[in-house]
Amino acid sequence: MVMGPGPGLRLINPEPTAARESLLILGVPVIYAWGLFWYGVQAAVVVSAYLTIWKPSED
Amino acid sequence: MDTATTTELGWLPHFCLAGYLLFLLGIGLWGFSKRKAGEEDYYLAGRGQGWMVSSLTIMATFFSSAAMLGAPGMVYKEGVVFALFALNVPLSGAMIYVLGNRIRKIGQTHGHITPADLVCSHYGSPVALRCLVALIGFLYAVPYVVIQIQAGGIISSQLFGGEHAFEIGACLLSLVTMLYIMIGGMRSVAWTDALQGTLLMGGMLLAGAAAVAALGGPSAFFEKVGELPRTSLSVPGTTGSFTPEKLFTLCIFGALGSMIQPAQWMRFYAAKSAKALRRSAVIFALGLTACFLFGVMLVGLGGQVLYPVAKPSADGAFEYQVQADGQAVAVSEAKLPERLAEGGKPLPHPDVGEGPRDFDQIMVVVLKRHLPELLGPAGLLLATLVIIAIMAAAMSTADSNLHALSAVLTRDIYSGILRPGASEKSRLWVGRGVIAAATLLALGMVFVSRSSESFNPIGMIMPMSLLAIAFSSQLLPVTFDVLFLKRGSRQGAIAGIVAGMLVVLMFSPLLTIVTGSDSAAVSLFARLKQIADIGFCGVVVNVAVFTLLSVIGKRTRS
Repeated sequence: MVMGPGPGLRLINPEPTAARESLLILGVPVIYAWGLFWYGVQAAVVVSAYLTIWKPSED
Repeated sequence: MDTATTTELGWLPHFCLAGYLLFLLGIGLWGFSKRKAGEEDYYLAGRGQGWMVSSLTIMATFFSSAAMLGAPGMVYKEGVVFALFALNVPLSGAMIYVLGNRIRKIGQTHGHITPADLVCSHYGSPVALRCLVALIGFLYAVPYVVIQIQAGGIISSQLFGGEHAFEIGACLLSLVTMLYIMIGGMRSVAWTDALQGTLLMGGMLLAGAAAVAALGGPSAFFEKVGELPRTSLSVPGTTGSFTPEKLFTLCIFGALGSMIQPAQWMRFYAAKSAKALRRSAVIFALGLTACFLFGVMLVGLGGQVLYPVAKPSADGAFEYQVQADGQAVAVSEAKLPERLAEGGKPLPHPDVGEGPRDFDQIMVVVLKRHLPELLGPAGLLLATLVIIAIMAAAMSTADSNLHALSAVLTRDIYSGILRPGASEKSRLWVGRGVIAAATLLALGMVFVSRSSESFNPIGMIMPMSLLAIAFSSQLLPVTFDVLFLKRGSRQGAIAGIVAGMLVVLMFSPLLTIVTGSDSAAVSLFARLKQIADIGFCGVVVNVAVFTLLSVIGKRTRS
């Protein structure tokens, strides 16, 4: 959460004076691509928790 | 593309909508036929919901018109930055198991029905804390129901046009929702939610695909999106509202606050087992985020291309339309922050709407105009289905909140405080009366807000939703204490909630109504709102007061 929609965004947010190309990566808005990447990370964390930490024994 | 071209949907939406509403009433009657005597069955469907119904009803309750209309509306207004708000959904999903399973276990052991049952039995506060927790439920549920009814009106006015289409749509949504909850209770609500959840997930993805197709496929879509104004493609967005810090607090408290609101809390009680919640958590976290990122958020972005909010001027800079002192004026990109700081409000493209709150209409406008153009009769049918999915999102949230509000006011206030010896039968009838009264209250608020020039507490859908979530977030400190820490005191819990709610109230339209729009207090809280989420501000004060009083109380006792 800190990296995806949080202060980590400052790492990739283009400067106001930067070239227009810096707003895109592989033709996709860099902010959107950043969101997709962190969605992948979050999904992996939830699936790992489901498989390992959240024990079926609680049923 | 000629954005002024309107493709009428004809009579198809009328038939589909009528069929859909009748089907919902049918489910209400089915729920009634399966009923068993007692409050536990009416409010929690006998605590027997499996993972499929649990996951769909939790998703449908979470996904309201804020997701289907508000989120694309915000992306259309602010740009791609708001798409990142979708990243709050996996955290919400995880909370279904982390908080939900503990709530379920304690609730099943002690026979709890409302959030106040659990909190008050832990702290031993039968009146004060019960009233406060019930008040939080009320302050969350009423605004949420209000915005769902407003969404029903927006859809109706976009679908059918005409002078009274908004009022008819709002009344129809309210009436049908009220009827099937009153008839069938939680069983009907959960099964209608299951249908609506399926519909709205499909609808969200279809809407995204429609927006991409309308611009000529993925490559052309992102090529045209890449030509949008710089502020639409970077942080903090068009109006400068979404700094990373604000977005971060918004995502954290949006995720947590929406998972401990009364309707979701009661769904945790209603789950049959830990397995039901564990699976629900994964389906929710993975499926819903995808629906956001690959669905409705793309509609907002595509909307910026199809119906530009900023036009390029001769020197290559962009020019926005801003409403200032009731007049629409053109403002250059460079002067936009200054104009907004003076109280100006950006306006959408005229084909989308005329007022600052009409950004929310982008979803319906894109679907209504472009799907039939692209696909002919099939597009007509698909556009109708997605618009019905938006109606489903509004109804599924309204029904869950009305049903939860009924439980909260009946169990916590009526039988918990006013008439402790009331029979179960009378409690159920009072509960039904609460549903009717709350629906009428919400409907009245929508009409007053719409007809009055000077009194408009509702505004756009998304800000209103975030205010409601900020109220429910004030339950977070006591919830974590009850479930994990167990170190707080009753006095601390009461004082913390009161302090947190007062802070949130300072951010609400109430402050403007009381002190006037140009008061120092209003501008101070408006500046604070730019920095962090409202719920976060309330919870910071809430936790500080809760901790302080709990520590002082412990020392005094020892």
